Amino acid sequence: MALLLILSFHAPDSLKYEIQEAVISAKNTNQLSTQPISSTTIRIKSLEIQRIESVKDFSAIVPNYYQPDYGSSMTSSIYVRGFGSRIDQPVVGLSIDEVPYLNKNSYDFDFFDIRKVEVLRGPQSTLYGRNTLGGLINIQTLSPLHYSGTRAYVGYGTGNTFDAKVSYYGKTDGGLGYSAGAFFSMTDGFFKNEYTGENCDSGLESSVRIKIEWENKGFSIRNSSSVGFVNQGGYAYRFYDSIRDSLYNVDYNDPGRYRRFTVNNGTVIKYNTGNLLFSSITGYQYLNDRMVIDNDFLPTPVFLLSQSQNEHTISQDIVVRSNDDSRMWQHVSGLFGFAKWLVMDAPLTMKREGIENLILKNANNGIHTVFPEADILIQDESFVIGSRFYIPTYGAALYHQSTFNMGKFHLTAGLRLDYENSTMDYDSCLSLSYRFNMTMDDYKKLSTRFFGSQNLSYLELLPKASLQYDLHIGNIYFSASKGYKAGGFNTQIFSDIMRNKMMSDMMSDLGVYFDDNASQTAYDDAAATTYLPEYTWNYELGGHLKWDNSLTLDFALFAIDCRNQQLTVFPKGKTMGRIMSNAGHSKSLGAEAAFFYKYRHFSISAQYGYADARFIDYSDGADDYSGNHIPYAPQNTVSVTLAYELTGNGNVFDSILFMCKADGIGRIYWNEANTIIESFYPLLSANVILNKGPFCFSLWGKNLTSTQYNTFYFYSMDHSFFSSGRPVQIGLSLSINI
Amino acid sequence: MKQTFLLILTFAVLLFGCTKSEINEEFIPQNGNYTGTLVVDQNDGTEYTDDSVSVEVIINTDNTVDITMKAVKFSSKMPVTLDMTIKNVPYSVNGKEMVISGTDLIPWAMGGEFPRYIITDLTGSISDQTIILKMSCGGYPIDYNGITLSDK
Repeated sequence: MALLLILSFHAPDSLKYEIQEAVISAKNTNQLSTQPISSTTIRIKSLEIQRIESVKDFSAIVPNYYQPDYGSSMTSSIYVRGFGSRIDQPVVGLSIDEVPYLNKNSYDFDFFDIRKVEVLRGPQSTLYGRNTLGGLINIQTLSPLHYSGTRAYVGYGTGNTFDAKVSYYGKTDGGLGYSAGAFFSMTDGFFKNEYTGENCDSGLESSVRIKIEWENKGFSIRNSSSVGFVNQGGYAYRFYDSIRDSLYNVDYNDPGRYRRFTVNNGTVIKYNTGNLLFSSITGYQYLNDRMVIDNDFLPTPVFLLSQSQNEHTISQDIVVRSNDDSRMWQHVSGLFGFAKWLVMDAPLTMKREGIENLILKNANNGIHTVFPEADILIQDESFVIGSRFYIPTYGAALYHQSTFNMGKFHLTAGLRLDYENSTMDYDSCLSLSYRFNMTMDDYKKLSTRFFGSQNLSYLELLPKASLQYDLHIGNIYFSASKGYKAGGFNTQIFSDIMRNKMMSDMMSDLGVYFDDNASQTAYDDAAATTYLPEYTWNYELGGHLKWDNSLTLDFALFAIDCRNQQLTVFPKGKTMGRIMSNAGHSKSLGAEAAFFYKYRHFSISAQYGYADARFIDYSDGADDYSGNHIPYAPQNTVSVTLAYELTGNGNVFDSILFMCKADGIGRIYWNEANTIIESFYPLLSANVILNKGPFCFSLWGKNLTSTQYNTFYFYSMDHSFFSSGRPVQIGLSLSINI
Repeated sequence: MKQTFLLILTFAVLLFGCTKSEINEEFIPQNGNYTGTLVVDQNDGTEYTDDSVSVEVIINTDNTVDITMKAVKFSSKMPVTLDMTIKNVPYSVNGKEMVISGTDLIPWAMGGEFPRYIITDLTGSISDQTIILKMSCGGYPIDYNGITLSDK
């Protein structure tokens, strides 16, 4: 087992806002550093100093956390401790102001007025349920009950990137707090599409948040509403010629855009009796988005995918917990339920090149073995493979966790009973005109339809247990916990299913049947469009240590055993879709290390994560990958931050902060065969912040050495593609807090 | 009067008996599905045999039949099987069977006429129990013997 050390990131004390830590968590009685949990806490000033602007910026700053920046805001592929998920639901849960967000399409949003972020690593399924086997991100926004004033920000940077934020926080004498804030950003992007001559990743994002809180005599109610809008490009995917080892520029003909409209509302009601805290957490999320991408990412008209989603989600968590740390028995119990309704339209437009290469070429190769001079022809210049899905999902859970404090020992045990049911109604169709030129004089209409329903349901027991021992400088602990990630449906493979079914229908219409299974695929059966849940057992030895207030050290060792790991697989050959596949058996052994040290005006913090994640037993039917590294998750994450603060006399400036940060990520294996590798790469960033009264001026830079690196690789239609990381970025910003 | 009645009765009985007997013996062409063995002379001294070839017979209104050989191949080297229909084959009823014959018939396959597999010297018989076909298909001599699908 490797060694793992973890440490919370700290900003220099003098830079911390005077914002009270008065928000009482519904489920945690103590600070995370006193609990048997590996975690990283990043507070508002650290977020601003390090310019952490979205969850993607947690990479490396949070040990063994990696969320590459590629695709669009829809892309939220998160890897923690060697495990992750490229599509569908991530392995990390997200809650904002204690309300769970259940659609990963909403994960990537621009931060503003975030008070604190906690990233918990390791399974959190006992208290937080599905899709938290890698951890949980808790985001708390500023509370008008604990902060008053006006905040404004304006920034400009490389890529003609402009962003602005403004918010107001007020409070009445009657204990009613209220706030309203707005955010806007736009960019011209960084990656030029050679085909259009314009940047493919330009776009804008905006959001509005309104928050109302009231608190009186142990009773509190909080309602937070937000509306967000994103309209952006993206998908800066570059063709990679593996034979010549050449990476070409972004060059595709069809548009690549993502538009998202979200409405979120959360209401948290708490009643504190002194010994007990009762909480009701109600959430509602609406997501309406549309992605249009040139799915071949080539300058030829192959095929264009459009995907629209319309989803409503409601959730309700009723929690009761003890609220007195001095008691021997501390407990938390809850009843959770959720339901969501997703309607998805995913039409794929097959264009001429796609018709020729993806359909007719394969079909005619078979025909030519018998009739060399004969061809199947398709009259249409393009045709649409329409796919519509209705996916209602609901779940319920009952959970309990008790902690027994016995002197210096703290024994914790918890169990969750979790039920989930999901149905997919699917209806795919296409229509085209075809002709077999050896026998048919005229084109003939052919229609293909594939419809039906699939259902998944799971009943899970999700236990955890830990033993913690208090030291005079902190604590050490051992924990074991089970994580669970729900199964789902492979909606993205339906275009391939339809293509195969269309060819099968065409051959049947012609009265031609192939002897071998060449025309068949493993996913002809609709049942193959489902994938199973993923389970992990996480065993962890860790601790939180602190010497005075100048040096802190958190550490943990972990070993993860994963069954049915969900992996994204591009089926072999000229397929258009991708499927989630259960990889069998895998493991991850790792170490994380971090510390914080402060001496006068100087501080240094460092975080390191190591994960050796491998398949124990995985064969995709054609190749055996047992023993290989699990792709996409980095082996190492490193982040070192140096900060020096110079205090002025107030005439010219109050203080100047110099911050320099070096992050490192890698190596990353891009495929199951481990033949394509991203070497370890460093990224250097810096920030100089000048404070004068309510004004704060910042000059910052990211990837200052202009390191060339890749954030994503995929293989599709016999082609390889990379997405590159952003080049050097430099910007200025001015913020005001009055 | 009595003699006349007996005469009519006797005649009626004889007539009825005779008619019933003749109707029972008359073959009524009807659609049918058969399965049987196909033997193709490969013209190289070898034969290709498939003992599970299905044949569908459709009776047309103009004293012809359409004969469809389903998912059939005529050589082990063919990587595909085909539905091949020989359309409008003339027939006549002979006792308890249909007798068919024809030559230079262009079969229908893969969505249209398929002259490569031109049918010559087609002969055969079809009853409600069996089917026997003999022909040359694209120059390859073919024999087919089948029985009704439900009886197999």
